[in-house]
Amino acid sequence: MSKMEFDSICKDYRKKTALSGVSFTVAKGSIYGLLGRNGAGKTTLVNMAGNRDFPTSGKVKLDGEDVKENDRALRRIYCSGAEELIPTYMRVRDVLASMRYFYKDTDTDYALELCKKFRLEPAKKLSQLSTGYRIIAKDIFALASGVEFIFMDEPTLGLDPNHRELLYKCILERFSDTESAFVISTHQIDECAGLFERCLILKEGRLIADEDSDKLRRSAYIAEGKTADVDAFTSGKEVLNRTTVGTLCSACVKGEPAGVPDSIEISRPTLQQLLIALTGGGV
Amino acid sequence: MREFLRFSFKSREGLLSYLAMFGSCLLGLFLIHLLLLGILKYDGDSGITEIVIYEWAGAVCAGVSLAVTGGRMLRIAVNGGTSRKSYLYGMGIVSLVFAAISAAAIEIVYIITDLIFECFGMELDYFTHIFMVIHADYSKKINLLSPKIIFFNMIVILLLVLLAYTAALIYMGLKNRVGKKTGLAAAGLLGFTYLISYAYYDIGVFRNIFAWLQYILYNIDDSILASDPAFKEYLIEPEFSYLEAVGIFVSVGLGFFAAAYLIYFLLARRAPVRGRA
Repeated sequence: MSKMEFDSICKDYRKKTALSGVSFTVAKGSIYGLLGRNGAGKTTLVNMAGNRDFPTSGKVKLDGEDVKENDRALRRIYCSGAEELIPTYMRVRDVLASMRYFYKDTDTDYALELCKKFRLEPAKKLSQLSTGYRIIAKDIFALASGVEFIFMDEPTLGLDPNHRELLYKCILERFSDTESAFVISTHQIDECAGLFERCLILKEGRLIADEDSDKLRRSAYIAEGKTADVDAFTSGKEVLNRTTVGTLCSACVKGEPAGVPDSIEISRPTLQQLLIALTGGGV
Repeated sequence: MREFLRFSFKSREGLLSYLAMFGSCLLGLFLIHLLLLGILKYDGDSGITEIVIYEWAGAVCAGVSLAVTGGRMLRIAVNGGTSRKSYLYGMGIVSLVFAAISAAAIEIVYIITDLIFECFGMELDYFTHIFMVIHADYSKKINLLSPKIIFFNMIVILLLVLLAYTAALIYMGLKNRVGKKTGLAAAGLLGFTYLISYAYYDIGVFRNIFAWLQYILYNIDDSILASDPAFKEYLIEPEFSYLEAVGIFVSVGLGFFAAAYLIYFLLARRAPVRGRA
């Protein structure tokens, strides 16, 4: 099975470290969620994967081959970045035609079928599309690229709920047809949670979690009750996040619940709650 | 690199896009000439009026077209999984082909314009090829359609296009590395240096090269290209053969281009490619 390895990726800008020693593996046949707060380094990471930017140190490898400046490897990866590289004067169908020069397996028929599903006119220029439709067009290019590794940075930005639902369905369909690896960076965490087999969580340029989604959710629990009871129960435990509203308190605690008193209610956090807890709370 | 070359020459976003942009500029220049023709005719101008339009303006148009098209091609190519190395090597070949096509296009439009001017009893200059002069009353006539003259004109224009490309390459290199404004400033400064040194031979480094080229140009013009048996007493001994002169012009053009290309290569090799957020 093909796999992409990110090996100790660091990216330093003049005044900021965007990524610091990030290592993980993306295998074909899985959908990954790349999660984190704004400025966590998700876009930088996607740019590294697509050779749009270069790491200060570390390597991105595809089946053991360095991806950097390697056309053969790069043609197996498609990055739909947050920044628009495709000139907006281009028509949707012309973008698809130009993609065929680089990605031989670009499925134009499938792309046109998706255009119909999303009610996107292929004859329109990207500049004539609304923000949402421009993102849809980018998503369609990624889905139709026919490559083994697809990175989608904010694929739902500006999309209405109906289009988001349709997109998730299309991603799943495409995934089951091609088994391509999808790495999806998004802030619509709970909506996408069902898609992700594995989650990669970045915090301030560091990878703080690389786990199976279900396992990750089961790695913590939420204890709710009166503040005094919750404080007593969580004493000595690793509290990831704590919220107090009036006399009530909710704490996200790492580990398995044990010896829970009747005054405390236990539930599993959603992926979004867990992400908030892991990445610094609601601040 | 093969994919990038195929994309450059076959897709709408490559050569076609360049030609559309450059062609529009040439059409604009052509219309300006026709406008000038109307004005000069109306004024009954009978003297010599120098207008320096097609060559330098055509070359500037070619440079701007390359900068715009090249930038777009880079973004599309990188989006298509093309390495910088492939893009940069490919762009070297693409630029030279674009330059040759541009030089040929400028010469064709030049000839068409000249034919139109002839219909009105005037003609574009044939003495220098660089400075175009409208003669209402001319005495020496050469055949502008002679292949030797057409080819030599194209070579001279090619040199100017390659010089314009050097500014375009500096702009493209700095744009991604530092920023658009720096790129524009550097390219503008380089263009201005060319202009000043070319027009007034006043900038140290380029002075000798341009003075030398101008000397060759006059020599080859007077001795070979415009040799008219009726004016034998004015003819001078050629110091360079036709092929030597062509070789010198091509070499100088390629030399300048190679230097700018090297700078572009170094600047763009590790530069991130960004689009609009």
